[in-house]
Amino acid sequence: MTETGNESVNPVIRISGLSKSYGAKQVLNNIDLAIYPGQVIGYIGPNGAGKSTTVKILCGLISDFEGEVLVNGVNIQQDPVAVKKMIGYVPELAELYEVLTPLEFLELMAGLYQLDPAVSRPRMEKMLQAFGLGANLQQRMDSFSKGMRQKVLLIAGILHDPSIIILDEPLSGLDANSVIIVKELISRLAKEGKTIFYCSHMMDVVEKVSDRIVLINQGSILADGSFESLQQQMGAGSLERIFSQLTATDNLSDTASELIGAFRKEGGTHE
Amino acid sequence: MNKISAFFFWLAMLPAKLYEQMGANRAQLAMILRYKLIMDDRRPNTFQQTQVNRKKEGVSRATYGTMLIALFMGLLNLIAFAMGADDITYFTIYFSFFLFLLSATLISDFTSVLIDPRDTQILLPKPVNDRTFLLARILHIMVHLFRVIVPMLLPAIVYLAIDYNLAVVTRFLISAALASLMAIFFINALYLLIIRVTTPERFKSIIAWFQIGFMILIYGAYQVMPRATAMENLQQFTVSDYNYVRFLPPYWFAASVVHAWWWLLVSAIVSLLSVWVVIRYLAPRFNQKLAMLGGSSETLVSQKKSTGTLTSETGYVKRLAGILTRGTVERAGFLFTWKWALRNRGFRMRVYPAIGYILVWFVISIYRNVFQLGESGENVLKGSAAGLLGIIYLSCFIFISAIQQISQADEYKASWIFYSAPVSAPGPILLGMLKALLAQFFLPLAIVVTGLGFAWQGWVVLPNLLLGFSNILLISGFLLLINYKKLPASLPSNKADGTGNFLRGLLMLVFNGVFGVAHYFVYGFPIVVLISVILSGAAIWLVYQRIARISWVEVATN
Repeated sequence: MTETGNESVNPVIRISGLSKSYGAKQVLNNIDLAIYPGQVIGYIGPNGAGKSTTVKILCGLISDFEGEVLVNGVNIQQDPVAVKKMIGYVPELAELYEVLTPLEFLELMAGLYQLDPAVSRPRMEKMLQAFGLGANLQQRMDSFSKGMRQKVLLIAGILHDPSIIILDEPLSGLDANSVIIVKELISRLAKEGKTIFYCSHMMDVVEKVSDRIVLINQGSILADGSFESLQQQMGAGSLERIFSQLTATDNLSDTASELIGAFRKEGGTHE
Repeated sequence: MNKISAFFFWLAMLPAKLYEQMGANRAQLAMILRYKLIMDDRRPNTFQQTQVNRKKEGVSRATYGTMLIALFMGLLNLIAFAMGADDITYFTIYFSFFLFLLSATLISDFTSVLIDPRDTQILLPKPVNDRTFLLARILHIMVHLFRVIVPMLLPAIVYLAIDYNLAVVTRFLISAALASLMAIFFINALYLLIIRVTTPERFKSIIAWFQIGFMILIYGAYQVMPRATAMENLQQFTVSDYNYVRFLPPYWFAASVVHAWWWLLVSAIVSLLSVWVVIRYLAPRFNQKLAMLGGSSETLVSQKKSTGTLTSETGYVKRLAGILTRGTVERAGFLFTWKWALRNRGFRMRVYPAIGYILVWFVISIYRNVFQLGESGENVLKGSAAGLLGIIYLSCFIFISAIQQISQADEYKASWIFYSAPVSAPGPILLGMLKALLAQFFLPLAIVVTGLGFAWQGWVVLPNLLLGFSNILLISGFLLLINYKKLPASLPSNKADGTGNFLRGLLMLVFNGVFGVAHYFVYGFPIVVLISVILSGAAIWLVYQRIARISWVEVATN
């Protein structure tokens, strides 16, 4: 399958021959991927497909892998710090230090990215205001809802104006209006030439947001291309349908029948 | 940041130039350390964690608490100077206490303060080099150590300065510093051992168990030690009589204070060697293992499925539920309460230390009564009657501490299942809960007490045991009706008012006492005891019927 995007430009991320295993379990199996500036990559796959391992490798959290990962030409194994500077990472599960206030947390983040406080302080205040957290600046985050925490994490991910943004289920816990804001934010960031690596289970969002979809299962890439090109190959239908055609081992409609069948009396007929 | 933390921060960052030469980024290092210290202040320490009505928000002086506790332990350590006949014995005992208490304190705090699995997700993706991370962690650990070690040593320093001289104080400080290094070695070795024999996921709960055990041990020691020091032969005791003592680290540290410089050399070499082992071998492996704490849950799921013990355990619980409960709702309440109380870490942290204290108390009471039985020949019957009744009525206190906590949970929102289920009244759920708590927290002790009673007096004791136990069942039912008409795991922890709980506990003590004293008066008259058993049984039936009829309105307003 073909890669979309402007291939005359150098790729911002080049993954070649990437493999990773935990003991006997092969999580990633010889992945090759080139990602170009301004692309929004929808990175999808079933649970345990190897999505989060890929993300952890891109973020420099896992360094013992086989193959090569270059970010803007920098080898991540040789200079992880330089790569980390270029990347903004928004983890799933709303992991943050909840005994801090959002301002304190962001100040810590800004400090680690070595931003000048004169630049970062007004920036974080403006971003928090824009997300409707203006009233909660001095409040410890242990009382925050999941959506509020997610907003703080989103800000922490883009605060240093990175050229690559990795989002792991960024919409979880957000209300409908915030979802619209984030989707709009993603397309604006992409227009400014930023590369976005979007991991999610929500197929309808991935379908709309991404201009290139990479589907992995059992550590290998099964499909790679724009939504339209996937439709051409797999037959028309939603991304959800294409996803299940490629990844489901059983017939999903049979599974539903079995579920319904469980109501019937034991020994009775199914049909 | 409070003043003490600010001072330590300033102290830690003094050699900033040196850190830069070592390859760390000064600004990032300061940032991480500063916020780590701020977070320390806001995180409840081990002892605050076990408190009932801790407020999640608003803890801002946790380190003061840690330091006060360390100071208290330091005072307790002074007991060492009352044990034995000579200086070398004093100091050997002192350093044994010091090593033990320091290791134990640090191991409990290391988990909540120093090892934060979220670091992997939050700090590691940031452009910070390894040296900076390592240095930040080392400085953080050092600051934390100082916060514990300084107050712990302070009482001994004052005592030595008054009773001995400055030279002794100086030698003592050097030895204490070396002993602290050795404690760090112990902790690292223990952590690695724990992590090696178990999965990282279980690591946290094992540490929680350790914390509980540690608190019980401190309490037990506190109960037993003053009695032990009073013994005459302990005053005559000297460690010099035992040759093998020379192979134990506390003796080396003591000897370098009391005896010759070459003992100092031995302690210095061994301590520094152990630190080298930590840095060279233990710490890197430890960090590797720690990185797994955050993720890799997928691989663990499949392992859990094959655990055989889980099915056999639920099998016996289900049989128990079948015997003790009637109807599916009561059974559901029983099974949920049973499993939740066994598995919820928060509940265990709040209740098990209390159980430990009571058990220590319980064992001491039994011990004393046995002795009374042996020594006072004519008072045998009277002594054991009061003793036996005391133990019977004491045995329900573990249940009481459990029922006080069962309604509180961090995940209280999950209790929607009770409210959304088509249950006309919550009474049967509460009755199931009561029975589960009794079966879990009272039945085992009742069996022990029965065994003890038979050992003392044989079958004759049976009517009195029956009366005692049925009274406890009655009191438990009353207790639930009066105070605890709350569904299991249905309220946030900070909603419970501490003073109210204390008063209720006191009320229970009085209540229990009245029953106990009344029982004592009829103890010698088997017919009266048997009639009382029947009356008590009838009252149980009435009370439990009433519990089964508790309505939604009562649960909501209670």
